Amino acid sequence: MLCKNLLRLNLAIVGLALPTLLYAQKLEIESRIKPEEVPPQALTYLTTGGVEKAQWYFEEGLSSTSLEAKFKHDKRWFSVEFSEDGSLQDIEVTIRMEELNKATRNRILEEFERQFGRYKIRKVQVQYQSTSLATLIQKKMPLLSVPHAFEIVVKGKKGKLPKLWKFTFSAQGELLSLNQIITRNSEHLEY
Amino acid sequence: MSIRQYIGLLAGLLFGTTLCAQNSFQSGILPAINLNRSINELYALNLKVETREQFRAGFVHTDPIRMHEHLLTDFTLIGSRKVGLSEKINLGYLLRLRQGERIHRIIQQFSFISRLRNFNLGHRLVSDQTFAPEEPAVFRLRYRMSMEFPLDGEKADPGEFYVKVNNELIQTWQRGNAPLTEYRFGPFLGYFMSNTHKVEVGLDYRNQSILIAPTRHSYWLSLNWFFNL
Repeated sequence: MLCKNLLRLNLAIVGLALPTLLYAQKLEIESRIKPEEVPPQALTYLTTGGVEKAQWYFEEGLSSTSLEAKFKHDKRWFSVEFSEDGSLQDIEVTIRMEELNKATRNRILEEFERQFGRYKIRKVQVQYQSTSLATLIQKKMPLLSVPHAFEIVVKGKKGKLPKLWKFTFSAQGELLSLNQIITRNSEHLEY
Repeated sequence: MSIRQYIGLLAGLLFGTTLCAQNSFQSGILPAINLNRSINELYALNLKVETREQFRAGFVHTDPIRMHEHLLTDFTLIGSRKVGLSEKINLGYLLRLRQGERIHRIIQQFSFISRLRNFNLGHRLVSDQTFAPEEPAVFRLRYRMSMEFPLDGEKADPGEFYVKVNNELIQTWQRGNAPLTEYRFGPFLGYFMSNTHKVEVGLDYRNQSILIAPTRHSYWLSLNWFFNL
């Protein structure tokens, strides 16, 4: 009896925690930094990859900080994220939804339809954690034969108003996480 | 039409009225406090108090009169309803106290913001009706586009500066007077103090009639404080 009650309690806790894990709010503060402020390890990683010029940013999230290099290569925006000590975290490259394989794309679109009545895809990025920048720069993008995930920003309506959402999907189109993107007040542009 | 002729025509439209000797000008400061309060996810209130203090005035090419004069104080209350991601419909009322008289204005506004990669564009479409004692009602239609460029990073965050540039065209109709087309231009330097406070300082230039002479040029040092309650 005690075991059954404990099991019920555990299921209730997991049930309460799961939506929180899948749906959270995302607020990041980003400021531009000079290349001189970047750890040499991160600068070297970029030059080894064949990138001479990039814009550097310091990002402060609710629970973590990171450095990000942004640059354009072959008409695509690359974003390379490092931890504060200069070690690589991931590389993101903008792609178009049509560039995903059909099965993955359909699975992702089904998820959007399940979540929202109406939606609009704002930005699609492919995310690499174990493939080097040098390889990605040399290969034709999107490179989908190596381990990857997808990060997709969608405008979708949940409740009374449309909002911006950041989805992360596995290479097979399985939902990994969902965050609401908080936009800042802009009264100074309205009144 | 050649490019040179086109530029000449455009310059003539914008600055042609400045050549007229009848043109007048005024300058001073325009401090404003802008209080914003969200009621819930959909509705919000905006209260703006603005005063207009004139320090110099006169006719172009003549010696200006240097005298401080309090011209007016505006109290504006606007209620807004979000209708989209950034789209808002606003209804408001303005009470203007000008040299002992009370002027009333009703405001209808639609605004939205385009968030682009490196800057934000704010669009504001307003129609208003102004009622002053012993004067025919004034009807206006205005469109303002505001560009906000962060000076640090891809978006302005707390502790960072930004540049804001306002461009506005206002069409005015009043019985017994020719319709006027006013142009306003305002470059501002803003500081994002925190999530609840923003301050801005800049020039608010107004050309009261860009098509029909004479016109009046106004140069205000604008000081804005935005506060979220």
